[in-house]
Amino acid sequence: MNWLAFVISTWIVLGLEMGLGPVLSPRGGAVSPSFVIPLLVFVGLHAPSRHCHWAAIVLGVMLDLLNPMLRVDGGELTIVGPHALGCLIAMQVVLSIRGMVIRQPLTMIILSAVAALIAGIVAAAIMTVRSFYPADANPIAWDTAHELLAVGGSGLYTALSALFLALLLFGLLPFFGFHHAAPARTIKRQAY
Amino acid sequence: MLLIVLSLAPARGLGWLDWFHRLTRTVVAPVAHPLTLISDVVAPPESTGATDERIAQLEAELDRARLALRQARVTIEDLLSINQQLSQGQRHNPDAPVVQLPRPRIGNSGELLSIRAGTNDGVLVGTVVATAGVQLVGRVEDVGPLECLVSPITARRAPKIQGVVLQNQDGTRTRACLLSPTGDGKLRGDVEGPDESLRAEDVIPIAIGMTVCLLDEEWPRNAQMLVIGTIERIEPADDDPLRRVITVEPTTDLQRVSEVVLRIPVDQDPGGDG
Repeated sequence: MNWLAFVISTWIVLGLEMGLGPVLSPRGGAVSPSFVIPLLVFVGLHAPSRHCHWAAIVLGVMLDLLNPMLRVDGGELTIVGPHALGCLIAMQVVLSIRGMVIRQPLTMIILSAVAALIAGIVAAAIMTVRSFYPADANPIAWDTAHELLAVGGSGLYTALSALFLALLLFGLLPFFGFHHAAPARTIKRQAY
Repeated sequence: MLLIVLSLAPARGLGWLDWFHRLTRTVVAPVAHPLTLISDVVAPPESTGATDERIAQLEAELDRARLALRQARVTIEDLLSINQQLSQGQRHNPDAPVVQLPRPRIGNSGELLSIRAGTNDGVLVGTVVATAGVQLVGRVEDVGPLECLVSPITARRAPKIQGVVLQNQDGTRTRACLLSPTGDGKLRGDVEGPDESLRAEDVIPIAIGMTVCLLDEEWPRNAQMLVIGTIERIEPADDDPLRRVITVEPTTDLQRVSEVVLRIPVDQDPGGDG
């Protein structure tokens, strides 16, 4: 995989997430589409497994760094891990099923929604575990039910952002240099 | 394994990540800011104010005059309090006036607003942020040399704020309220009952459209009486039907303001270009 193309793509999708998130979020709520997850799925569909895992960690850590939690006593708290682990597990799911799917934009759209749900649920689970800590060790107000609803909505919404990114990323496929991708499931003509 | 440890590490062991958080924000800002500007042009945030530009300017002027009047009243009350304290021999440091520093929003970081102003401009943690003249946005939660993060009062995890409902134009009749963010860009909370010393016919009922202003000792003096929003809904409380619960909507979408005004006390301003 061409890591320079990946870094530039990551930079742009993080900018999209930060810049367009509020305008695409209905009523300023917690539901918003992810632009990072479609890139994760795109890499997961094409790159070698080892590269995919590192890409998932990089994307997840960047998401963690860009989404600090508000402390109940004022200020913010940056926690690295919940999104990173979520992305890693979502990537593993994509890797496990990529041999059974056809690599085309529609696949990326469906898998993006699934991956966003998985990554969101893992991140919410970790934050729920943290919510059992004493208040001084985890000074964050956390409502698991509300967060899971937001994760569900965001997962479905991510399919829309994936629609836009799928067309763009599949057009840029040659720049990513996926020479070592696992063979796609295609219909082979055989000569008899 | 490292990610699992970091995910579950207690808050006091995660302070060093703030530097990486600021660095990431700075790196992403060149992409996010143009997109924010474009999105604000394509889909401007909804505002409850007038659409005509001239009327909007006049309304903003009127709002500023009303704010000055309300703050003058608070100042008079404070001066009376200072006078009383001085007469009792206590020290008191009155707040200095503020420099208003308009700065654009670069983008959002979760529920926080990323603003292009930092310690180089005199911004500190806790600096009060407003927009649209007198609309309160929130407070600075984190600040770097060139940019800062602002927590809007409507952020889901923002603390409760105390305010007053202005029941008449000059703000002489008010009722206190305690508001919590609802998570959808609004605030909700109880309103205190009418003054028991008033006769029944003198009581002004709480009504939809009344303005709610900040009056909270947790906030700096220069933030007092800034507008929180207007009452959008009034309901009886679940546990006590006689008590009123109000839903307050800010005059603009605080998550999508294109420009904010940082209110920096004069004695903290190191000579920013404001």
